[in-house]
Amino acid sequence: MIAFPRFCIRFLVLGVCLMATIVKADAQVSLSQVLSNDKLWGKDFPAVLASLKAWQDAGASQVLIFPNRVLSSSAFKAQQPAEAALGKFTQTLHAAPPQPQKSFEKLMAAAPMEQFQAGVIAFGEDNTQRVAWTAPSASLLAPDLTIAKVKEAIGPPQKVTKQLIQGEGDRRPIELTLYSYSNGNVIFAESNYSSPGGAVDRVLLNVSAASRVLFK
Amino acid sequence: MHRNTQIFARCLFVVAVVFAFAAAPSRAAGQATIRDIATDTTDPSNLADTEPSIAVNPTNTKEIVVVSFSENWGSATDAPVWHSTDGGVTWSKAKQIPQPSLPGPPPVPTSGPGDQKIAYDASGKLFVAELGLDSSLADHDFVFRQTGTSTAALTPGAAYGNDQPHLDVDRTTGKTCSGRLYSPWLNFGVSPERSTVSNSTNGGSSLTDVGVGDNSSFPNRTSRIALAPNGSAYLVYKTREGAVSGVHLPGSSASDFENAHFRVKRSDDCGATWGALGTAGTSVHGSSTVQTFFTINWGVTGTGRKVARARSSDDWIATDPSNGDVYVAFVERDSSTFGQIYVAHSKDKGATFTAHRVTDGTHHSAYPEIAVAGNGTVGVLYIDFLDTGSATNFRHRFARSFDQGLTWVDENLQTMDVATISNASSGFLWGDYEGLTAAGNQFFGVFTGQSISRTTKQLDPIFFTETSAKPTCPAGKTFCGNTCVNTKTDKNNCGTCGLKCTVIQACIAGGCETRCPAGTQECCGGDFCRRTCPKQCP
Repeated sequence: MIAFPRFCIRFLVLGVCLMATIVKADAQVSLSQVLSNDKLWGKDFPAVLASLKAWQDAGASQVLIFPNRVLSSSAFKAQQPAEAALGKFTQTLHAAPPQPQKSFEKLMAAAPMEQFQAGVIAFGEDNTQRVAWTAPSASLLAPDLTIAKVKEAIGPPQKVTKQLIQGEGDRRPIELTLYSYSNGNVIFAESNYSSPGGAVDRVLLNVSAASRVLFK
Repeated sequence: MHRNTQIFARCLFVVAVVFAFAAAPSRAAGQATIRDIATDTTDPSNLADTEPSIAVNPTNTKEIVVVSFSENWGSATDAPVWHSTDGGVTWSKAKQIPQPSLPGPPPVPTSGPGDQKIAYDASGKLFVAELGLDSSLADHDFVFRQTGTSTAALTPGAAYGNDQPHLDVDRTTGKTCSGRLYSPWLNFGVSPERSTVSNSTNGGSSLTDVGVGDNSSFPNRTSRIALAPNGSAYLVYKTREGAVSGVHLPGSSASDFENAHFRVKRSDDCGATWGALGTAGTSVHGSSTVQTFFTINWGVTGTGRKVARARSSDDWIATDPSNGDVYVAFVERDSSTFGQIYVAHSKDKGATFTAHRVTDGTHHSAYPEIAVAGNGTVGVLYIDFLDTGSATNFRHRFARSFDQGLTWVDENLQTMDVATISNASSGFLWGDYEGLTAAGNQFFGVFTGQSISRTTKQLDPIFFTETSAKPTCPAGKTFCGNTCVNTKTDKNNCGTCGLKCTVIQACIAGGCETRCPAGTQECCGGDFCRRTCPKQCP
């Protein structure tokens, strides 16, 4: 959907506004460009790309990419269904990987998968059970990645929204500021718990959209 | 005087008046003095400053500290404490809460803060309880203690606990428990959740956890602590005994209320055991359950409106520093159909309580904090909201009782329409609690309210202070409710406060006397005058 900037309505300069919107849309970075931009990702990020099929089979519509951990967007209240999803994830992970598109062949050939361990964790953010894939020394996001650096690398986001996550407890809820790119298929999130300076807390990646871009 | 000199003098006077207004603290409708703690300089990022807590240095009551969510800690920066050294007139921020880590190897730094409470000990040393999150976003608590100057970096103690740590330090001297630090929190690591109190003899460097709440049948919540002048420690908590079906807040379709007991437990041995009032403790409102809030829809749910979270926002406890009486503020949805603030008073160390309503039965009210001043005056900070009209106006209010909780004088501190405040996050407007304390005969409080004199309208930590002295009235008048009246002639306070005459009665010489017009008579026990009284009264 095309969203018109507010000044379009205010000044009724429709032609100019359409132009501005189109230019903005044209300037929007593609998912492929985001995934291959090395200013955004850490050295171990190719492992995330190589694991996408496994996440898809485990029922994840999105993966949450933290500096050294990947989490499924599928949230379970109970342990058992989370363990079942973990089983599907590990099964696919150990199967033959899908064939990458030519443009990603080189990147994915170097995917450092061995250091990661899969498991079910209690995710304190919303008190759910999640499939997690963790490597304590991994670097999935570019070191000291900030929203300012993201904007510098791939331009302004298409949309900025807020998401308040109320857990079952009483601590201050996590509030994410979501910077959406590539039609919302990749979202850089800033947390109200982050250290000062606009650090990127996590990246939300649409699994099926990314798989379409990455694999034949 | 020369004309130009006169003009100059007038201008000077106007400037002086304007300057005086700008410099003077803002005043609420009542007597309280209120002031925005944050300024454009100290809060350039326009943070919402939620869940504030306040403490006053017992060795120098001009020295006041506040913590709120005013900036996070990080690897290269400490989280702040707000300081005032002039009784709350001016405030500065001292970055002194370093990022705490879980033990390694390697140590795991936490993100936060996620909850906070601040206190002083008897010697004026500062302590702060804080919650941090690990990489799985699980909760861990830390007590930070002052080991240097008042604004130097605090020293974190060992990790302990779980959700919503609170804090107090025994400020008695020469007693067994003097200096003992207590931190209640909610243990989500057991099922059902249990109110737990950690205690420490070394300022939180190491702590001992003691399960306190009775969770044998129901989960616990809202754990708050108070320390008595004899060294006893009191914990109030609630047992959550099931949702109330079919009762909703305006615009909401959720079950916004739950059945609960508010219970008090006491420790007479510095927090080691808590059985002085039995296994479950004393219910402050008798044996029956009360209905209280458990909701993320506190306010009016609807397009363009914002609502608050009220799940652990329904009790608080304090002791009278002079005689050790115990006071508990709690929420009860009563026959008015509104959630109301009640205060229960115990004169026998928590064995029995007598409760009276603080609020007037006309608005939903919650988030009570209670404190008792040196002269026995009881203060309650709370919030209510106006649910009519197109906007939801939340009001921070302060009630005082000069007669041990029997009657209350209430004043509005501030009214705000949060929909117009951009950094007010719907679902967590001010958090679960705010701050109130007393030092000597003065109350000191802090709430997350609408900014005052800021370039950008926003939520800020708002400081207030109010006397505990009962207002004095001119000769011949008596203080009733919140005004001075002549009880010899006031129809609503005839002879004594609160005694109302009927519509056809007049208050004459302190007594209600019926005054029917000539040719009519008093009917139905004084309800009205008629030529002929009806056979049946309405």
